[in-house]
Amino acid sequence: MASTISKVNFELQSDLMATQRRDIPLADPNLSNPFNANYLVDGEWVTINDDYKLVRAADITQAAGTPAPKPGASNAMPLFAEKGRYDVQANAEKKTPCIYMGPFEADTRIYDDTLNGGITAVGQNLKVAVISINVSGTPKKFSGLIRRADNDTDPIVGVVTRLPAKNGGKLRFRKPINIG
Amino acid sequence: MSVPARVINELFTTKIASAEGREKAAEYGGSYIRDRLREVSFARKIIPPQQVTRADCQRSVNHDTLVKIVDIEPKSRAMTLTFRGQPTARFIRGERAEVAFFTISSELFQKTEQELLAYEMPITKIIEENSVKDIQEIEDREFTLHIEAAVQALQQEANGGNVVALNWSNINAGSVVEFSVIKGELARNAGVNDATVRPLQRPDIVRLYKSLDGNRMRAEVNLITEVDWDDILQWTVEDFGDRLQSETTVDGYKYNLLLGRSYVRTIKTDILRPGNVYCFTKPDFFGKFYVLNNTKFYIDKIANNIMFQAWEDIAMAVINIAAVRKLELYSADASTLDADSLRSNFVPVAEDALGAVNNRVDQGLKFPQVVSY
Repeated sequence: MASTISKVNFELQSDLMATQRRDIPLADPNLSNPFNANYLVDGEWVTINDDYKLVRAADITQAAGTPAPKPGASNAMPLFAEKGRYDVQANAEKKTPCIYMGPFEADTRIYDDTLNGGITAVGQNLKVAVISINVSGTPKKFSGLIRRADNDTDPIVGVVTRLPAKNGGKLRFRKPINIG
Repeated sequence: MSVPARVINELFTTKIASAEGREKAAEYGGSYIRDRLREVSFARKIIPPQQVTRADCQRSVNHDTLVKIVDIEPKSRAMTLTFRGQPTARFIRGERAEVAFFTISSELFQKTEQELLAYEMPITKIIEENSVKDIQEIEDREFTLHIEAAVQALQQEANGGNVVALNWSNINAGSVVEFSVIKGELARNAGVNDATVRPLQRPDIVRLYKSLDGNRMRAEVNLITEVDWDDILQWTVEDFGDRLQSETTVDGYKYNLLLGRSYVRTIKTDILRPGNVYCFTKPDFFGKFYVLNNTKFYIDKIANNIMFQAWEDIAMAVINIAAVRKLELYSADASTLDADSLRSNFVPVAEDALGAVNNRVDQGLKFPQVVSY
């Protein structure tokens, strides 16, 4: 089942206070513009670059299924800001909140459950990769979650706790520790 | 004065945010060495903030954040006509701009109750007071980044939509237009593109005013660092006349106006870097600064862990980018092109670099060096 993009694509199912959020400047401030071709959405997986700025963990210029390159993939974290938030656009450096540390459970629409063997069972591991989701009938790439097969060497960023088919199309996962 | 640890503990039990706690803490002020001067916001002097409420703001249907929509004056004009003629029509449409809200917060300060006993100064009170100014520092940093973006955007437009390096080389080659950013006279004749800040001269100020006054607007206020301000004290009798020269030699320049315009001086040279002088119109022509929530202070104690934090919710925007101009007293390029790789000398330092300290006590550098045993 393919995912869909909505206004809200990432919802915590666990206590917010158990996490630590950080506002970090975007390496490309233009991505905070909701009309930018490569706008960011909540639930996309980002990482920090050498300048301590946020970049997508997976390179969306690559084909769907391309995993996030190491070592940044180990540090991948979900964006906690919906597309085009005013408070992100308001600050000069476009600092954007992400869930920087701490365990959590969340529902996300930023996944592809068909790639890499597909997300088929609770308990499967997840990794960050380029995914493609139709937005208004046009395929658009995001940095999202796909299955991490047992023989993969890519970092684990979460574990499936509820399948999309039984969760209104949203993938529920648990991120027990920060580094997979 | 030595402060008993018991008093500090008592301040926490009575919650330091209370008036009683504040008064008690104030009694013990001055028993410590200050690291640096802290200054209130210069942005607030240039655009006085207006308090707004939730009712003044608009929500989004896509997310849970707020903007205030500001109307822009509509275009209009008049025309000459014959007795039989009629005017051209204008279907009225006023532009509107969104000014978005965001939060500025202090750090979340934490300390255990036991370790607090090791302090004889009211450290929490000091941090609380400094937090307000720290927050205003970030206001100033945001403001500076916004006004810099504004002058650079207009400068780009004046150069045919291209970002062109504004440095000594290009000025001498005639390959750049100085419109919203101009170089000082000494920088224009520097003979090299470098980061050296040249002294501010009287004709520089006049040119800065003229860059704004020539566009149906009027320069009303300057923003200048104390470092550049000190150059004014070196102006000669030809600049000042003998009466002012005598006065300035003794008292410094003590008037509220400089060449007929007011000015705001700042010691925050890590935010407004020396060599950058801005001038602005009145706020009505320039931008908006809204305060949705004034500074709030939160303090809590969980078991023996004490934590506190301060924050405010504000919005600020340069809406009319033509209402600000900049004078650069150095010859290198400060545009986003960074043609001379010296731009980091001219723009505000990183947010997390603002907390740097002046003293070297942590490295044992104080004199005489006394060792306890």
